[in-house]
Order: sequence, then structure tokens, then C-alpha cells
Amino acid sequence: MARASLLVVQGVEPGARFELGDRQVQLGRSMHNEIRILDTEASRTHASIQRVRDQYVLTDRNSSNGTYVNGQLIRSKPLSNGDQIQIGRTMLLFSEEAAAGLPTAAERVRLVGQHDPSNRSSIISQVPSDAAAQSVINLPQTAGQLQVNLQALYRIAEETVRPSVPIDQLLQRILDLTVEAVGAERGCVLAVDGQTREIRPLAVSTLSSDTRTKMPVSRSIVDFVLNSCQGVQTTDAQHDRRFDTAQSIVQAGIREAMCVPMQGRHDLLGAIYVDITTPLEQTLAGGAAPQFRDDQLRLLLAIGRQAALAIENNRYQEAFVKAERLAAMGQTIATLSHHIKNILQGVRGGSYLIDLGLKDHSDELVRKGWNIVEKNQGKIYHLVMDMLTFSKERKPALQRGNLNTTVQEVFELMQARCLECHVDIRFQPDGQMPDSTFDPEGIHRAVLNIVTNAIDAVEGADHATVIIETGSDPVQETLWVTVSDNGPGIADDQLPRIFNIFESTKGARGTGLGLAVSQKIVREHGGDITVTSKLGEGSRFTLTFARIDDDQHLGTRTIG
Amino acid sequence: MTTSCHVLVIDGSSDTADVLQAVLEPRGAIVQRTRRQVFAQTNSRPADADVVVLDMDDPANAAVLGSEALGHARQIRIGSDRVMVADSQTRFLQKPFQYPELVQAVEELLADSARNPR
Repeated sequence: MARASLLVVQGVEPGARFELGDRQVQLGRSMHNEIRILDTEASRTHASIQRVRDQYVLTDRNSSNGTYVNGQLIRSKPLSNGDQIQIGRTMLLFSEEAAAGLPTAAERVRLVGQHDPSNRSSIISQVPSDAAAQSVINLPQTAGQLQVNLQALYRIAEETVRPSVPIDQLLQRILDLTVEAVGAERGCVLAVDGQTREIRPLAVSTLSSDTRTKMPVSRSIVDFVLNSCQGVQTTDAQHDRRFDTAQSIVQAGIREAMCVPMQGRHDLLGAIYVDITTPLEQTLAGGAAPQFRDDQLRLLLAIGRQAALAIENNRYQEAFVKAERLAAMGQTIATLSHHIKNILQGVRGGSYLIDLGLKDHSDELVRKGWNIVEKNQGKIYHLVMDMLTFSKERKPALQRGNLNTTVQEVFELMQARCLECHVDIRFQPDGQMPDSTFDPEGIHRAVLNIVTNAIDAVEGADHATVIIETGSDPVQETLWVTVSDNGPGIADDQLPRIFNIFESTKGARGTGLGLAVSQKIVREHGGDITVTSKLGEGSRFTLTFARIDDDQHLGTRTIG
Repeated sequence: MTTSCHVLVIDGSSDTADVLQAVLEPRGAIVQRTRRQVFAQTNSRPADADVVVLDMDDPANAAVLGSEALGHARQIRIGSDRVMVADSQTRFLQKPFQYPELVQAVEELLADSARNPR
């Protein structure tokens, strides 16, 4: 079975990827779903995906706002590679890798025959590639044909601008649509190497379910198309003198073929080849179109151009993403190295005092040094835990509990530090706090990071105060924690950036991970963090997330 | 070391101030730590200090460097990126540094301060 996944291309967590396996998975807002959709327009249990034989089937679970695939409302639908699933405002891209053991495109195509420029006896139509798109419209044709051709172009144009689809998948979809649009039976996309002129099949499409038989493609026709940069239509390939009757292309009974160049902005990137093998008499008996038409050749030329542009765009995008990835990696390494260096600096300070204390037989110096070492050991621990929390592998460990208990633990943990740095810390728990299902360890970390920031903000100030409060909203069915401080506040221009990873206003004392981690955890709970701040007066962070009692409203409720 | 020596640590990790306190206060110096923002709010005068230890990794400290608040206090600048200092009353230590270097730099500047009071 092929490996399949869902990629979030639009929503709260763009870039998040969910692997699909053999077991049924549920999608929705509730924490009980295998795939959580952090979207207030998603129902608690919105849809499910189940593997049925060789396909993944998406089924709507009576959601309030419906489930859409490629813009169409569905009840249940087998998913195809590249399908876009819309749940609320979240868009997920379904991707499926080719199953292991299936032949690749290169293994399914056989180029036969050599180029002979003097012999083009069966080429009945040639069209330059640059005359293609306009002539699809201008060529004399029936209104029906024009509409079909324009619809095909429209669908293929939609595919070429589809985001986040690997190029091999994109070309496969373009080819599938092309074979359907021109009434071909088989087709392939061939890439040409700009340096070696080597031709390499990238995609194969066939109406037949036989994926083992190789598709013969005339090397003569392909060479002619690549050299002349013209689209060609051949007919009666059985009697084409270029093909040795012993060659399998003839044995395969190719009756008609069309081949067009894929001309990019600057380079010729390859060709698209389609053919028909069914005997003419059989085709006519079935009531189908007897042969490829001139307007279809021009349509194919336009498709070739679109496919080439899609390949070029994909290459540019890949180069851009690679550059961005390297830049992000560099920034990550630089930021983490910086923070680790600061911790190392602290450890050196502690070690220095211990060394002095041992030399001078001063227990007090040893104790002071050890305190510094221990403090920095704690910093390493929190740095590692924040990094782990931010990594995609972590999943919330849900359990029944009371938010007050979790926040009380944070409060008690920070009391010693507040005493040391003369900060008045207070906890005002909600006496009516209901139990809920949440990840106590995650929420502990989320609140701890915010409280630590608040203490850092007020440390050294007169009447430094940090107040932690908890509460619940029975109407919205939410729980909340607020952390207020009377520190210097955050400037308006900094507020939109404070949740960005590696953004820190704390200089040498900040990693830029804390707030990003807290936000991630709270969002995993279907909530968010808001902040209000005023320069010179202080800041107030509010963590709000859904209270989960049970899922009695499965699939029927949305919150605004 | 004179008993009136005053060292002020601005920003950075509290470890720096803790180490200097543990080493220098038994020798008669006073080591205090402040935050740039607090010092900006309270108008406390770092210029009153004999030596100011300034963490340069906080970009906002560039404003402190440019302000008159530092007066003629001798400075030790600590940072990740090396900077050149041409002033004999200013030292630079690149992170990660060894603490004996910091203590030695503070003591030399305090001695200079004692010899050449402002």
C-alpha cells in the first residue's frame, strides 16, 4: 500500500503533516481526534478517513459546515493524489506516494526507432508551439468542441497553480486530464535533459488497468517535435514507413498519435505524447470520435506550454524553499548556540566559585557556585523541554484533571525564585473551576513560560508584582489562565512578533522559544493566547482553551 | 581595594552579578545589578558606579552606551560579537569568557579609578 499523508496548506498550522495508515482516523476540532483541526468552523468530529482496499475514503461525519474535496461538497469520496480537502477554513492536501513494487514511469515507457528527418510520411499536421494557445480559440470548431477544450484548459490551469504538489504528481494529474480531454488511450510526459538530450519519462497514463506492459513511444516523432519545436499529429502509424514492422510500436497497433513540445520560458523541457491503439472500425462502432482533430492538437500544444511553465515554476519554488530552509536552519543553529553559550557562561561562573571555595576552604563560596551550576542545569532542562515541545513528534497526553492544580504547581515552583529576586507573586484560583480533560504537563509548561517571562519583566522594579488568575466560561465552555505583571510593558510594534519562534525581547536571558511553545500547546488544546500591554504599566497574557467534558455533541457543534 | 568601590552590572544573566558579588564583596566592593529598563525608569545613575559591566547582547543597550547616563564610568562590555575598543578605560570580553578574566578586568579598572578619580 502506498504511503499517504495530509498536509495542512491553509489554517492554523500550515506545514503540519499527518501520516495516514491502515487504521481509520478521525478529523475534527476535538482533542480525541487523531487529526486535530484547529479551526473554530470545524465540528468536534468532522470527518473520517478509512482505507478501503487500495484507496483512502473520506467521509463526512454529519459536520455542521460540511466537508469539501476540490471545492465540491461531499458525503463520502475516495481520495486521489493531490485532492484538496476543506474543513472549515482549513485546507488539507492529500498526497499518496507510489506503492512500492509498482513500475515507475521510466519503466513503463519504451522509446523505439531512430530519428530520420527525411521521412515524415504519416505526419498529417504540424503546428508551431508559439501558435498554440490563441489558435485553440480561433480555430474553426463547433461551440461544443470549443467549450470542451476551454474546460480542459481551465482544469489543467487549475492543476498547474495548485500549491504544494510534487512535480511528478502534478504532471501525472495533467496527463490524466489530457488523455481524457483529447480522447486518447495512452499518454506519457517525457523530459529532455538540456545537456545530454537524454529523454526520461516522468509520467504515464493509460485507460488500461495493465501497468506492466511497456508503452511504446516513437523516438522519431519525439525527436522531430523536440528539434522542430512543433506539435505533430500522425495517423495510420501501422503504415508509417519509419517504423520497422518488427518493432513493437507497430505490433502494439498504434493507430494515431499526437506529440507536442513542452516549451518553457527559456528552455525546451520535454514533450507530451498521446496515442490511440483501438482499430478505427471498433472506435466507430462504439460511437466515439474517429480520430484526433486539429483543434485537439492545438489544445495539446497549449497543455504542453502549461506543463512546461508548471515544471519551471516548481523548479523556482524548490530553489526558493531550499534557500529558505537553509536560512531557517542557520538561524536555528545560531540562536540555540547563542543560548547554550550563555548557559555555558553561567556554568563557568559556578565552577569558578566552587574552585575558589575549595582552594580557600570556603563552604559559602562552594554553595554559591553550586547554586549557579544548578540554576543553569535547570535552564538546559527547560531549553531541551521547549525544543521537544516545539518538535512535531510531541502529542498532548490527555487526562482528567483540574486546571487550578496545574497552575498551583507552577505558582509553588516559582515562589522561591520570586523571593530571591523580590517579586511579589500571587495566585487567585477560581473556586468553581470545573474538572476538564487536558494535558497537565503541557499546560504546566505553557503557564510556566508565561510566568517566567512576567518575573523577568518585573525583576528589579519597585513593587514588582505578578498575579496569576484562573477561571472558566460556562457559556463558551472554555477555561482560562491570566498572568499579569507591572513590568515595563511591550511596545506596540513588538506585540505582533512576540509569538514568533526565536523572537525575544530579553536579550541574553531569552531563547525566543518560550512564548512560541506556550502558544503551540494552547493551540493543541483548541485555544489561543492573547496579550494586552501598555508601556510603563505592564502586560497581561490570557491563555484560553476549550473545556472538554465529553464528546456528547459529536459533529454537531461549532463555536465562533 | 577601597571600601567605596562600586560595580554596577546592567542586564545579562544574573550569574555575572552573582559571581562578582561572591568574589568582590568580601574584598570591600559593592556589586549591584540593574536592568536597563529599570535604570531608564528610575533615572538611577550608573555614572555613580566606578565600573559598569554591560551585556552587549541586548541590542537596546546600544542606547545606554550612547547616553550620558554612563558618564565617565569605566566600562566592561560583554558580548558575543567582538568589538574594538580604543579607550583605556573600557574593556571588552567575548562570550564565553573565563571569570578570572572578568574579575581581573574589574579589579584593574577599580584600581585605575582609585588612582585617577573623576
